[in-house]
Amino acid sequence: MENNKNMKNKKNQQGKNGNKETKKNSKSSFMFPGVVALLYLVLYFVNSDKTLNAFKYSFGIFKTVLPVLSMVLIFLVLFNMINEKKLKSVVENSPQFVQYLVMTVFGTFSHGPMYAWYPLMKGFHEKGISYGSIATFLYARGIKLAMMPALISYFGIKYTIVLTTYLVIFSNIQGFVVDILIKDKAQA
Amino acid sequence: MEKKKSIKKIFMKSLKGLINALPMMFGIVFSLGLMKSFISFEKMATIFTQNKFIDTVLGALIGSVLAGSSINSYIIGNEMVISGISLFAVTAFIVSWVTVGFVQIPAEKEMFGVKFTLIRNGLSVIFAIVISIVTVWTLGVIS
Repeated sequence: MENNKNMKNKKNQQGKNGNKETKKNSKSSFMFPGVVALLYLVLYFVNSDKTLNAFKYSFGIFKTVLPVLSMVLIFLVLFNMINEKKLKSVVENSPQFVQYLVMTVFGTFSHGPMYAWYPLMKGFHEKGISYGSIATFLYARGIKLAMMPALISYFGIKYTIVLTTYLVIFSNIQGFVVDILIKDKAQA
Repeated sequence: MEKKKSIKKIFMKSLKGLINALPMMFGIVFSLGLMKSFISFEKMATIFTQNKFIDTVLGALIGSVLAGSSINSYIIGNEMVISGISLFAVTAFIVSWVTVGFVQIPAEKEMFGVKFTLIRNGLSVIFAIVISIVTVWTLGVIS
């Protein structure tokens, strides 16, 4: 009976701490956009033309980011459907280099800006994927398959092949180094 | 019926996760607009010194600060080569443009913590320099 009460108190305390943490996070997540908004306001009085151009340019970026975000949402839903316990056991049983290789392929084929993929990567980490694997994914995003014809036309095919090969190698090295430097494997 | 409810719950959870990240994304996108409008690359290019090592480090740092579509980095990189800046510096610039994100640091810090953000971005700057050296060296060997 006493044990049950203690357990309930502990859970309530954890819930309160979680709420406090969420409130703190949501406050700080508005800090950066708030500072940017303030900058726009100040710069508008300094140079209104340039500030309006910046505003228009930003809306242009949003148009290109929106389709990527819908793709990220689909990935998030699919990933949230995976059984956490099963995934954790698969992750724990597979060699680390396999995780790096899978994340390299995933990163290479992903589209859009890096920051659009942060929520999915956060979800990955919460389900047991190491920080190193996330770093591998983010680094491999530097390989732009869709932009390769442009890179070839400016710098030649040899340059493109050599650079892309090194980007693949170093995305795996980065994952390895990050996992050595950050011991916290996963929260799950 | 139970399955439908659970899919709806999963969808709402995923949507909430994405919506939570939106304020930071707004911040990044609008600061990109300011950079594009207020920072002139022509002025930045005058920083280069013709010293290969210093230029490579500068290329990596400038690429880390600037952001946007990777095709812009290729166009700018091509202009840099034409104006006589070394391929080491240009490669470091292109690599750091796509792998480092100084503008994205606040959002990355929010999502993954300070330690991860500093280590990942710091390593990416160093790797941009290393990749530029090995790429140009390999091209020299192949040719």
